[in-house]
This record gives sequence, structure tokens and C-alpha cells, in this order.
Amino acid sequence: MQDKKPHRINEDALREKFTSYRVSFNPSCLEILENEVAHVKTHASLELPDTKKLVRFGGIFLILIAIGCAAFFTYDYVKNMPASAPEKDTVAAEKPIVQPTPEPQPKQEAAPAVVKADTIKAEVPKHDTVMPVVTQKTKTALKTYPPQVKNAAPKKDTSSVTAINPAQVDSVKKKAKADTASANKNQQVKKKKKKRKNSLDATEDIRQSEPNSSDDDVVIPNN
Amino acid sequence: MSRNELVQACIKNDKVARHQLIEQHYGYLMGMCRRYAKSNQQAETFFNQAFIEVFKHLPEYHDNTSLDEWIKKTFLHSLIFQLKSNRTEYYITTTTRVEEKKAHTDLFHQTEDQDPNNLLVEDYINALQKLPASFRAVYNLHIIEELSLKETADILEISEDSAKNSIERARNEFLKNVNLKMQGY
Repeated sequence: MQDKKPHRINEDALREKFTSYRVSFNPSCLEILENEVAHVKTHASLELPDTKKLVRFGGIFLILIAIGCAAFFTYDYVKNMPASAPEKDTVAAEKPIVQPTPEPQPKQEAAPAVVKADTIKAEVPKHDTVMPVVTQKTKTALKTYPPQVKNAAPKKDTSSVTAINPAQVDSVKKKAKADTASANKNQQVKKKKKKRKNSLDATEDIRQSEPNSSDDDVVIPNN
Repeated sequence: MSRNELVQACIKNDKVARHQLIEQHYGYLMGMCRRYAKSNQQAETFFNQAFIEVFKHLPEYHDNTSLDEWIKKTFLHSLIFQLKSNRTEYYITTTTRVEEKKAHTDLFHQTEDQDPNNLLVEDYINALQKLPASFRAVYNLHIIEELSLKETADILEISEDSAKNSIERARNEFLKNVNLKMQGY
């Protein structure tokens, strides 16, 4: 029955037992350990001092080179500073000021778009009136030129044809006929245009002379 | 050859000095390794790895501390590192074992003191080796090495509460294993 009861261990006595415990030396373990330790030691002995020395020497050289480079570049920079730097700054500052001014000027000049507004005022009502003005000019041009063309074209053709080749007269005459036919067609078209313009002018004149004709028409029923 | 001379010779990669240093500390350190390992075979690998660490860090040794204490401390850290490096043993087996034994622990029935002289040291070491790795580590550090709870928790990188909890569990588990040994199992 006593064996089945659970017990509490005296830990102090157990500690003494464990601390005084020694394992007998085994030389075979030593050989295995020696092989492993020999490799480790060689690596350790080579790595630690080499890396330290390399870091020291490399670090010193790198620091010296960095300081030298920094001093050299700063010296050069300071040398070049007074000549170049202020000009660059002023130029850089002037450019943006100059650039915007010329650009708006042409816009303002072109802005006689304001003038356009005036012209538009004049033109917008003219949309009706412009047509007769243009037609009048064309009238004069048509009145003057067509008779000259009529007289000149056949004369020139005949004279040139008779002078150069009598054999080609037929073909030249045909061409002249075609020219005259085309000229007649143009004249007819122009005449039609003239008639239209005249009719338009007449209607416009009537409108201008009687702008409130519609009002008058409205007034009549009252009477 | 004095201790300092021995250390300097080992640093200079002297084979004889190295043998001497190993031979001097083999008995105690191998016993220590057996307490932390799960078997005598694993204890040998622990011993080799820990001694390699000792030789690696030997240049860092200073005369103002005892060589035995310094080697013991280096061994201790190496053993804990090796225990924790085997994650499946250290973490997974611990949790499964704890769940199994929860129902069987009853502290109020543990009234009689057990005399350690009833069993051999090897039996106690066997009882320790049957513990989960984390319980083994906690039990060795806090009860055998007499480290404080905070030191134990710091070495194992756990909180003091969990260290305290696992110490209690390790005690119960160890006692259970010792009782089994005494009953002849």
C-alpha cells in the first residue's frame, strides 16, 4: 500500500545528487569531438582576425577617400559658384517674367476682336445688307468684263489659228465654239444672278423704306 | 599547465591542450547534458555541439571569472538553444503531454517525502529524460541549477507566469515518473 502512495521528492538532496554526478570519460567521444572542433577552430581562427583587420583597413581607406572626394568637390563647387550660379538664378528668374508678357500682347492685339464686336454689330445687321453690296461689285465686274471676253476670245483664237495652221482650223473652231458656248452659259447664269440680286435689292429697298409695314398692316383692321 | 595557459593554448589551436580541457570537464558536463537530453545518445551530440561553442567563444573568456563557471554557463546556453532548435520536440510534444496529464495531477495527496537515495542517479536522469523538452528545461534551470524564476523565464524567453506554471507541471510529471520507477516500471 505504501508503494502506491504518491511522494514528494526532496529537491535539495536530488540537486546534490545531480551536481555530484560524473560520467566516466569515453575516449571515443573525444576523437569525434576533436575532428569537429579542429574544423571549427581553423575556421574561427582564420575568420575573426581577418575580418577585423579587413574592416579596419578597408574602413580607414574608405573614410580617407570619402573625405578627400568631398573636399575636392566642395572646393570645385565653391570655385564655380560666383561665376555661374548668380547668372543662372537671374536668368531663371527673368525668363518666366519675360515669357508671359509677350504672349498676352499678341492676344490683346488680336483682341481687336473687340473691334470685331463693332464690326459684328455692323455686320450682323448687314447679313441682309451685305449681299447687295457684294452683288453690286460683281455687277460692275460682270458689266465690264464679259463684253471684252466675248470680243477677245474668238478674235484671238481665229487670228492665231489662221496664222499657224490652216489644217487645224476646224478643231480650233470647235474649241472656239465650245468656249463661246461656255461663255454664253456663264453669261446666262450671271444674268440670272443679276435678276435675283435686283429682285433682292428691290425687296430690301422696300423693307428699308417701309420698316414697320407689318405694324401698319396690324393697324388697318382698327379702322 | 595553469588554467590561463591552458586557455591560451586552446585559443592557439593546441590539440593537447584541447584534449586536456575536454578531459577535465567531461564528467560533469556530460552528466549535465544527460539531464537536458531525452536520451544518452542525444546527450553526446549536445555535448559535442556545446563544446564546439566553448572553443568558439574561448577568446572572449576573461581571467576575472572562474573557467569552470564560464564553461558551465556557455554549456547551459548551448543546451537550451539546442533544445529549442528542435521545435517538434520542444513545442508540440509539450502541449500534447500537458493535455493528457491534466486529469491525473492531484497535489493534495502528495504528503510523504521521497528519499532520493532509494533510487540511482541514472534512474532519476531517466525520469527526467521522459519529461517533455520544455518541462525538462524548466525543471533543470529552476530546481537543479537554482536559477530564479525571472532568470529561467528570460533564458527560455517566456513570461514568469508561464514559467511558474510549467515548473509546477514539470514537478508533478517528474514525480509521477519517479514513482513509476520505484514501482519497478
